[in-house]
Amino acid sequence: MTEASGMQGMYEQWLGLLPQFLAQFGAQPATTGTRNVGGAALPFPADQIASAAAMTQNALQGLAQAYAPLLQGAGAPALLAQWAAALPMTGASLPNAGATMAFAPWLMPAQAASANAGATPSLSPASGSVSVPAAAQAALLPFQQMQRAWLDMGNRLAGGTTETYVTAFDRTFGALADALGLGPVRALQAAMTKLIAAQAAQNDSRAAYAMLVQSALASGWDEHIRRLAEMAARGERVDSMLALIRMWASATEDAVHRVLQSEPGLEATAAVTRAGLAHRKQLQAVAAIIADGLDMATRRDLDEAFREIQQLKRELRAARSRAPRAKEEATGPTGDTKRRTRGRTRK
Amino acid sequence: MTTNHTEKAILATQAAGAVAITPASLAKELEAAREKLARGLERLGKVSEDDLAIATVPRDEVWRQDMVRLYRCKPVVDRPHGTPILIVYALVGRFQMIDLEAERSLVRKLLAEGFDVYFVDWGLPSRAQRWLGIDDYVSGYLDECVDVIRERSGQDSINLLGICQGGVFTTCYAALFPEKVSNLAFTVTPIDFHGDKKEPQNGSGYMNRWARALRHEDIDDLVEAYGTAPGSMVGFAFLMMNPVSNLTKYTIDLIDVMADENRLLNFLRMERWIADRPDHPGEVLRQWLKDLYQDNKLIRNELVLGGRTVDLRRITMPVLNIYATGDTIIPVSCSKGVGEHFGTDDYTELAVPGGHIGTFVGGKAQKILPPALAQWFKAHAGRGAPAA
Repeated sequence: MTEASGMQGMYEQWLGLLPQFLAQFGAQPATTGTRNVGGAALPFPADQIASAAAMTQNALQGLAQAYAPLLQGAGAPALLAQWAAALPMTGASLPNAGATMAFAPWLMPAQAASANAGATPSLSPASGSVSVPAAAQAALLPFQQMQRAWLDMGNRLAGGTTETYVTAFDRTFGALADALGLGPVRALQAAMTKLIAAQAAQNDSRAAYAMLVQSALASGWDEHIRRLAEMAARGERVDSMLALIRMWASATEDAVHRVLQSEPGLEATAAVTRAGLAHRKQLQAVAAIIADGLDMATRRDLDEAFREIQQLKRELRAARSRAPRAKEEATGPTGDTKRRTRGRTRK
Repeated sequence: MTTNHTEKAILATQAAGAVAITPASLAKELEAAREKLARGLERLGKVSEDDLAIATVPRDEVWRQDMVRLYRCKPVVDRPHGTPILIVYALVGRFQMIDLEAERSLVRKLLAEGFDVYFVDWGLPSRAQRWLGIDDYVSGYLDECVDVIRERSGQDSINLLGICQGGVFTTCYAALFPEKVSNLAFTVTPIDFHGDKKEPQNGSGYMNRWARALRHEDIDDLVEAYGTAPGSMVGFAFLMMNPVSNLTKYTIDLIDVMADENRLLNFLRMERWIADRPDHPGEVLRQWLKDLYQDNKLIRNELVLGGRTVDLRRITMPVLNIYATGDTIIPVSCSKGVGEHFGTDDYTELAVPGGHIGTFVGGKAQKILPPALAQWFKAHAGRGAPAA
């Protein structure tokens, strides 16, 4: 990885999450934006920030289109209900008909919400219900997308999926595997079986982690609503959509910290880390079998060479350190030995 | 369930009462925001590579070994103070933080105070450096740098200024080579890696808790699986400490950032620094997480480097410990109140406003940190007497 690709790679990974992040507010799925402004290539990271800004610009337009009709129809309750509908625990269902005033069951799973519909006021012109604008439909799965984004982060931290690597191995070594001989092929099959098991374990740990993230997001929404209610009780008002989003972000961040720093949170994070590492090591075991069969040097071979080189450097350093002391013992201390030169590369 | 449902419905109704957004105000606000972003994009279109240059202080490379470089900043006074200062940054980021911009530069402010300033650039470790341990940095590269400066300056000992992980390195160095250190200053440096247990705070010290939730063998697996920890992985770990605000930062927060040219350029320069994460040598990571984050060996005088124990009681030179009051990466409780563990009778602590990085680039901190360091080093001048 070059320096430039390393710098930009992390940015691209993180900014790749922005469409999901923006979608959860009801904005249209954002485009990837542009890295050129006025046709000229921009220096890093201005190029990446330009993409993010363009994406945000599009998202704001989507927000205006999604929320204006809701506000027009039923005011703030409709806006909050639309937003709350995207919570992961709701089963990805917008509050049909009259969930708005109570933002229905907070929101409850779709079936429960339907069952409860009779208990909540209806908002249509005739019966109180509000039709859901097309733009808002685009936000049907916002928090689920956010959750997926979190899992994507886990993938990026712990490495790709088994399928990705298996496909790559197959393409690279598929035909050659037959030439390895029976023994290596059996070893390879055994290693692949372990790899699949490691993948399954990794999926389990990710599922547990996802549940935790869901609970953090739900808890964040609870906190957001509680803070708004407290504001109302104090007679304070928020008249800015952006401020409202920032309030949500603050409440959610606090909840995320609280949940992920709790004992269950730390256990789940450790389990994801552990499973990701086990999976990666098993992938490396598969690669090593193939490399051995084809008489190719592996990273491990190179690492051993690097280890020897490093050990030699340490011995050299120790020898240099001993040399002036030996000289001092023989001739007594001098200025030269006190500030000894050790064959450094100096400019 | 019913009670909970009813309570929530009441709360929701109350909450809606706080929202005074109308269709007209929504349209007006979002359109204004879009216009700001449009103008910001125009500004971005005019940004050049020169605009985003960081760490531009004039300097000379005076030593190099492997990927490590030692630089001497060009003094801005005819006769700098006698004892040079060596600034040692962390491995997890690049040294450019100390000279991000001309107006936000620790280095330039120390130069302006008449100091002779050197700094280490740890470079970009590759797979070949995976076996480098903390001792290779402390007793190897750092000791070489100190010797070069001693030789160039004609001083027996020099001043050290460590930052974060670099502060741990300089502390270890001062304990192992006390005769070569006149004064030891470190900033946002963890000394008590379990300090966060004393004062747990939501959103602070996640790295401490994460590391302790892992087993020793998990750390071994991490190092074995990766060799060197990819810089992008380390960067992601930092972003994940505050995942929500790190998403608003690149979306709605851009609206205001891009509305002001200076603010935009400051932001871009900082982002350039943030994105530049070197790979982390595996063996350093192993020791860092196991010996320090998990076992807290530094403050217990149990850390062993190159067969020698790092004993903080051997640090008898003056010590200045600067911590950031809003630091969530290195919780205050990991840095503060550790004076009794050092052998010196001249120990000072200073609290600086701001977060872990804000300490060096924040407006308020810039007015406190560099002058405080300069004053302290001047007050403790004369300890690095010329060699006979």
